[in-house]
Amino acid sequence: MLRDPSLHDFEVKRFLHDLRSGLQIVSEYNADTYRDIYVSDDIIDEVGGEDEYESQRERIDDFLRMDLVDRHAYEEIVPRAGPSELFVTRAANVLLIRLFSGDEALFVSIERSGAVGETIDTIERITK
Amino acid sequence: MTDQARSRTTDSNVDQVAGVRSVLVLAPEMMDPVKRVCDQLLDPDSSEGTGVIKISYHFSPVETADRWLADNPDSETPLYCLSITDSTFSENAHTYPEHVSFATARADDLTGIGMKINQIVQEMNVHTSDIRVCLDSLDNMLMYVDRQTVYRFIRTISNFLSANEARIHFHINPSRNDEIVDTLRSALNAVVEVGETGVVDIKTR
Repeated sequence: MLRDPSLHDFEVKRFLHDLRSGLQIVSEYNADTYRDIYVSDDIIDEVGGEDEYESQRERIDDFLRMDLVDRHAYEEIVPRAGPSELFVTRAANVLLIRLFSGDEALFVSIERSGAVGETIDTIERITK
Repeated sequence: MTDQARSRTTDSNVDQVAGVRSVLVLAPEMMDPVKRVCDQLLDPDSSEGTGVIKISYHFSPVETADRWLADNPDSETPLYCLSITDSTFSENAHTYPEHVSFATARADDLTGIGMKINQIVQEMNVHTSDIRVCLDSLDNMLMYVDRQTVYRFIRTISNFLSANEARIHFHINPSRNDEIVDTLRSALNAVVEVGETGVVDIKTR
């Protein structure tokens, strides 16, 4: 599944091109909505088809949109921290990256390969 | 929970958790002895008073205000009644004192509830360290979203309030599945268990 973002302005095909293999999910969200813009066939097969993915997606939706509340906490805790721009979770097999811009956010799930910093730099370059 | 202190008391005195920023109360708010504990957790530390946010899945905003004002008829504590409901707030609120405010949020949208709490904290005309929040109850929240999402919500909202030096306590029915209660209690700084006779069992980190 591949479609253009509506909250952001970039070409989603560049993710597939610039991040090479292992891209699983790219989605965009804000406090009100969550929308997939890319989901790999492997992920849909892995969870058991599109219907199963849809129920899984609802859980991701609930979980991720709470970032929009969570990101404000750090501003209060760490002096001069400023607003959070990026949450990165390095799991055993995947990198889960949430990138914030204003009130909007982007979620990228990608298999781990190479340096975390390079992957983040590539995502930021695509979305700038 | 490691390094925890544990004590029992018979007079509902929960002073030991007075400075604790996030507390799980193992009892529904409506039970009488629990109400006293709940009131103590909402008490101010100083004479400057508090701002109270009452979040309820059981009562409408007006019902929440009526219950609070019946118990605190002379209080001028700023009170925000946030009802978690699928219907919009349409009750007549203009007869209430200026220090009482109302809001609703949708039960299936935890992010919306979190954003609303964030907004209320910014709007309340008291120092954030004087804000006390009561949420009744996590049992109802668990009817709409799964345990992991509730866990993340209570971590997220507790972090946000703690960063603002505010305090929150959550009610949950102790007869729930132990595994769920254990998961959720690990997200918070203290657990207060209230028996039917008013005996209070307190565990803090």
